[in-house]
Amino acid sequence: MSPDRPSSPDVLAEPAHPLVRLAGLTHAHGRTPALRGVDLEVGAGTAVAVTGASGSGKSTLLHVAAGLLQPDAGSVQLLGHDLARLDDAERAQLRRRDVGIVLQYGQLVPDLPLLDGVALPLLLDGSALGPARDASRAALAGVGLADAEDAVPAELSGGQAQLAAVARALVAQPHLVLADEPVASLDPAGAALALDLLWGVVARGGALVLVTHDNVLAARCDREVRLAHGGVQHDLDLR
Amino acid sequence: MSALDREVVRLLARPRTAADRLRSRATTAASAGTGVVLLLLAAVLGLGDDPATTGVEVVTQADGSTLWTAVTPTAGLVPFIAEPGLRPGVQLGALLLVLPFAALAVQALRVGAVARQQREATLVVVGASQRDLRRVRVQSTAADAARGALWAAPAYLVAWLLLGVALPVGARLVPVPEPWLALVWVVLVGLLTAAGAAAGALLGRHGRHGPAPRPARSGRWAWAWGAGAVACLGLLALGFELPWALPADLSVFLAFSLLLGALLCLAVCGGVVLARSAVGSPTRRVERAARSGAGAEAVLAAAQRRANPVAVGASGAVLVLVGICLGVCSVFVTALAATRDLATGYAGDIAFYGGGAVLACGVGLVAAAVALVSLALALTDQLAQARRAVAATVAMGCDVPRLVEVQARALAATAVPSAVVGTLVGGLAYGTLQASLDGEWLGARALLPMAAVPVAAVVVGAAVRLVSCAVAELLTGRVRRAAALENLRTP
Ligand SMILES: Nc1ncnc2c1ncn2[C@@H]1O[C@H](COP(=O)(O)OP(=O)(O)O)[C@@H](O)[C@H]1O
Ligand SMILES: [Mg+2]
Repeated sequence: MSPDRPSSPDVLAEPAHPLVRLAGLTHAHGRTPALRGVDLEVGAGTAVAVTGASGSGKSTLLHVAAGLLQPDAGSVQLLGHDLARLDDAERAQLRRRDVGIVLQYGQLVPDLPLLDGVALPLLLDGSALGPARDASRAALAGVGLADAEDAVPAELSGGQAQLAAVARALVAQPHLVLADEPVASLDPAGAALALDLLWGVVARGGALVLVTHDNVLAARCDREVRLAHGGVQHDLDLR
Repeated sequence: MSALDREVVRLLARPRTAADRLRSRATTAASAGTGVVLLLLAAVLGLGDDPATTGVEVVTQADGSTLWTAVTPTAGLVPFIAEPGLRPGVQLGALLLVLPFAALAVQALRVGAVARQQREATLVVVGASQRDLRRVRVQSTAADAARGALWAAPAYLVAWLLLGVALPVGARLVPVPEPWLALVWVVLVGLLTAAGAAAGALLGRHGRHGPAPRPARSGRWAWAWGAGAVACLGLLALGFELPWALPADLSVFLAFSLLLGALLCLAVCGGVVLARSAVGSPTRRVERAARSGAGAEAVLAAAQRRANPVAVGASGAVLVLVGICLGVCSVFVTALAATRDLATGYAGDIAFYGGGAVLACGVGLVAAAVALVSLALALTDQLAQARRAVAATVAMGCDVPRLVEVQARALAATAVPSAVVGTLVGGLAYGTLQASLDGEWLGARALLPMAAVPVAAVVVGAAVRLVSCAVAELLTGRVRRAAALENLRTP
């Protein structure tokens, strides 16, 4: 275990410590610039909505913040750890223990039954199959998919897949959730269920970064960061 | 860093999709094939010159030369294997036969590669490190390779029953499995498993930030790979021949190595040319196909070949070698037949050499079939990756038999030219060499065996076309799955 082990237990004891600190983030997909110097800090106990027109760079911001894409310039700090200073294994550990990620299209592992697919963050963290499956079962029940634990993603509707992705993001009880349009293809009841679960993270003193184009949902957050052409257009405190 | 639970690695490594299962089976088969060929090689290498196992006795004459005389053969092996002096050719053949199986293994490991990369990208999102992904890959490829290696021994026994015991004494191709061969087998299981693990570790390496789509490759890699393959094989082959040839027959050894090097170079050049032609200008290709009135099948087949330059090149190279072998045999056999009336006393020789030629052709055909199967794997894999587009094509009215025809065309477009060119080159080169070496053949007689070459080329071309159709038919199930209309709603 490295001394710089991610997720030191006292991270949350210090509420002022930002869980996310992005500084001067720049990223281009090949020659298409997607982010041009974005700064963002998210403290504990906050929900931040990232809004903006299609193509404004919201998804790219989320991917870079999650460490799935490497920024061309700028730095990403999650829970006090500079991602550039962590090696691949340490970044992976941070993702599975402390960061829940919900991507735009669910991104479930296509051929795994839901029970194992949702248990993945725990399984990848070295947990044995039995306990991980128990936790997964509980998470699936939480999103109303208790009956679908043997189904593979191809057998789910788009909305069910997104609910499963939310369950997977929350199964390891992360301190930070990065979610890209997590309720876009959900019916109102499903959306309410998923949002309550996501806000549970905030209530426990964690943080939520929520990409959305839904103004009502954005208004429910503590802050709204609006992107335009890869830059921050405005950063509104809604509290 | 917490390590993955063993059970979890198995869970993630287990083949689940049709492509996973095909990859697993094909890898197992390639490993088994390599294992059998290497066991055969070991068995032949280990024969020694004990008359009890070889059926011949070596007599050293007063002038120092050696003479082999048949004794009551217990093993009853064909003279090529039984006589120590003739064995290197067989060993070299076995060594070369490893080549198509290795190519099959490489192709097998690439089955479903795009789907696997996407899957790995998803695992990265939920916290898998590159090390975890590697462990999962190593687990599955090593297990497949090990399973194949385990099958090698039973497969050798079957081969021994069919091509040894069942054949008449003096015509047997597979040596009796001695107890020490079991030891070789154990070592082979270890080696092939390690090779499988290494392949898994090397497979789909990507950057620090997880899998990214690979940039389109240029044709330059093909030369590098080709040169590397030639160098390795050349060295291996030389290593094999060295102990027999040196120091007595240095010139023979050099001539032999030069010939071998030239053959391998020719094969690799053929493969590279094919690979490059496959990726050549798509618009021109489509135009040509349209002008020739070949229709949609030809256009689709060209697109498939274009997407698989590596497989096209590798299979092409193997088929050029096979063609050369068949071309040489055609001239050789014709020449034998032509001399029969002159030298009826050598009927035994004709059976001997003719048998050798038939054996070489048989080995060549096995190699060709393996090469075609691996090419077919690559082509249908591309079909599976593009399944939504394929399903859309079917929805627009292109039925499955037509898609199968596309596969056959794409296979034949690689296989027929390589095999035919190989036959022509091999036959003509050998015919010329023979005519110039053998004074007795100079004149009209020298040309006679060469007349067999065009005939052989036509026969080989037709046969390879037929085998292409048969292999395409074998893969109908895979084409049907790719063409299923429900693929329209998969991402
Ligand atoms: N993989 C990619 N390759 C090339 N360009 C991309 C890729 N992903 C996104 N882009 C481009 O980057 C810009 C920002 O994209 P994205 O972050 O997905 O926007 P949003 O999520 O706000 O709709 C867009 O112009 C988009 O076209
Ligand atoms: Mg987006």
